[in-house]
Amino acid sequence: MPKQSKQTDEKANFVFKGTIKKVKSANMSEVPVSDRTAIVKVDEVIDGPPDLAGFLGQEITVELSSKRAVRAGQRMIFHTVGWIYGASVAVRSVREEPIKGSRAAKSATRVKRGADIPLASQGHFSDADLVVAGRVINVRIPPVSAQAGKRTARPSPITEHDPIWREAVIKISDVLKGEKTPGQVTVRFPDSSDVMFHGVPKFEPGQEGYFMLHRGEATKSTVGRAQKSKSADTYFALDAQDFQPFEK
Amino acid sequence: MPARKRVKKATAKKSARRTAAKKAGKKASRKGATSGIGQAPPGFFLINMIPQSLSGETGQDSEPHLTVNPANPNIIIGTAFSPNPGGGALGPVYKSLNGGATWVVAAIVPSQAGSALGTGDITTSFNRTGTKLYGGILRAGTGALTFLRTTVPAFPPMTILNPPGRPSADQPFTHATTVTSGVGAGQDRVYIGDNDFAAPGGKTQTIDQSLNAGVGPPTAFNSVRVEKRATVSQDGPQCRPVAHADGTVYAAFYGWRALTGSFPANTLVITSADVVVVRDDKWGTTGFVSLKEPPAPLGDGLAGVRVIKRVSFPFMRNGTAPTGQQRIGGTISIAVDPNNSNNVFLAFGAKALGSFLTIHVRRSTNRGVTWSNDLLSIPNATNAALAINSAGVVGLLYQQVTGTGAAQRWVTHFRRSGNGGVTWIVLVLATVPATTPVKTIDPYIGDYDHLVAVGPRFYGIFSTNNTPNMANFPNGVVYQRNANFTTHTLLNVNKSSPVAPSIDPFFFKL
Repeated sequence: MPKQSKQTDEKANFVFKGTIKKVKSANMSEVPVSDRTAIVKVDEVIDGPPDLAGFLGQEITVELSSKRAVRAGQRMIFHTVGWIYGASVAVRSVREEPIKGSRAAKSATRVKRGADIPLASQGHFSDADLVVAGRVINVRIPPVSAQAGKRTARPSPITEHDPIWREAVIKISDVLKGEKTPGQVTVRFPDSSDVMFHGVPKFEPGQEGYFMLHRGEATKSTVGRAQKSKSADTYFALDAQDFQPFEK
Repeated sequence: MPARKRVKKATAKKSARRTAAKKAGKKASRKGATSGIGQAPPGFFLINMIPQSLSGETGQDSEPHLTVNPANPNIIIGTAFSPNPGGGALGPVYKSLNGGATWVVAAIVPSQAGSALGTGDITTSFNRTGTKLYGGILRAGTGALTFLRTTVPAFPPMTILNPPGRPSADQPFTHATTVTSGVGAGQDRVYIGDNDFAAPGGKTQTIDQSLNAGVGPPTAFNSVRVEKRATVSQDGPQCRPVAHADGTVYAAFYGWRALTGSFPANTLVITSADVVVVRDDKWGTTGFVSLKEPPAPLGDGLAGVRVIKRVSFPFMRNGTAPTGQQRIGGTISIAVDPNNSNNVFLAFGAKALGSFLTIHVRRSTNRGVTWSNDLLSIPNATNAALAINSAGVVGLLYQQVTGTGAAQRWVTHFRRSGNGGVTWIVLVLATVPATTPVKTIDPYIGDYDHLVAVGPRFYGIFSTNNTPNMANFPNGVVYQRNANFTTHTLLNVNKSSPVAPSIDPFFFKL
């Protein structure tokens, strides 16, 4: 059986300060109660999706990252991912940490050269191969490569999940990470509105902001988005958070 | 009055009331037969599947699918294009443990951390014994065709049966069952229809099947190429398998023979497609060649009967205003009578004058050898889904566009026939504006919905506009998410902030 990824390797999407109200318990009947489940009051949302922001001040169920001694009244920061959504919410904690001295408890940090990237995007910053500030000056159909230009026995498949690749040319005003010489960089993105590419940035001339880019290559799958590849020389923006417009 | 006479009189009165009610029901049925409104049968139930904790969500939760545990119909799993709002590496399914009365969203589908998608195409199916749930997905991020399994009723995160998945395939459609007697008794048989672009010769219609899916991983799946005829370079995305308990397995698909136009330009039209039905009489072990056309001149002697040849339909990249924002690309569904595997119903879509797609329903009583003429013909409709219950009643779920401009609506219908498709009783499940909300992704409501039958009951799922207005749900509806049906406003978790309308999955049973 293939190994499931360890819970601690997961990236938390819902980070909050909370107070444990009751241990070995759950506030939804659909949640399997164990030594690791606890009812926790959400005291402060540090980072999280809009759909969960409404749980500020409410009690939810948390499955702790491991069996550990906790007690009612204990306060800590929970780094969690979504698990079960019913009348309430149950989340799985990737890790917990004390509140005092926590990096997560601090406000959005400034990064190099005074650029101000929101906390929500900082994970994407650290994952990116190249981070630049700039403006999209052109969007075009990718040039046909020598390989692709050869006649093949079979045309490309017709599928509703065709990415319909485009390229955005970005004029760089600042390099925040990576070793790209200031000038221009080309980013490939899917122009398709198909659900498979939901959330992937689609660029238009005139857009300005921070671009968190990943080296990669178009997947062999006709429906895939892109695969990271350190050896590739094509850049992609893979996620909605990989583009942050300048704050006005 | 003596007690005995009082009882007799009371009984007579009760009987008279019952008779009057029956008459009224029949009258209403006849009167409402064409409107489909106000005459839902006893036991009809429709619910918006979004749980209360996600009252703030505004996603376009389209393309729903459903499976009901045959051994315990209280356990039901639904799927749609829904993200895991709390992130993580698992995407969600909708789960009910009480026959659909309430629903939760549970993250069990292998996905991609941080995915806004949750999962790509997804369909699931319980085995016959109700001990396992199988699934076929296009995995978020990679798009890899991935086969899944989990156990019932714990539903832990699904196990990948074919790691690391397979590229270049589309629209997995899952059907699972269990051999109940004879050779292979106790083995789970799983049939996943898909369009495999890696298939040789452009004959892309494929059934990826496992004859013992309960073991592993790795779990042995073999790709059966069910398209035997020359194609334009590929087939359409829809391949719909269904198995009978006696080992008969049917599948239906479009064989693409000619096309014109451009998919990126949204002008592609399949100008010639065959609607093909294939059959295997031994659980898929003989390559789906049990049903063949007669030799020339009556046919071409190849496996797979062409129920109708040379149909045409658009294959759209994007939905447009005339199509109610939903991209149109054909629709196919097939159902086999649980009491008699000779009896099969087929629904398929084809373009017609004045209709962007017309749903046709036909029937075979001789295992697909010959087919009736149209039993139904429904214009400007898509997402046909057929099922046959234990009483031999056939049900059809579909979604139809009516009107134009601001008056345009998506009307979701359920029809049923107890006489082999001669006459049908219509039920309107939902009638909603087709222009609101404005789509953010394609597909708008989905490239399919789904209908199943377990015992005498039908269970279905569809996606549509979620504005809380009883006029939109003429036979009634229940919401779990916060909603004000007086002001027709969705409300957030705080029960006061308004939430914009969006597309939600709805479950029904009757």
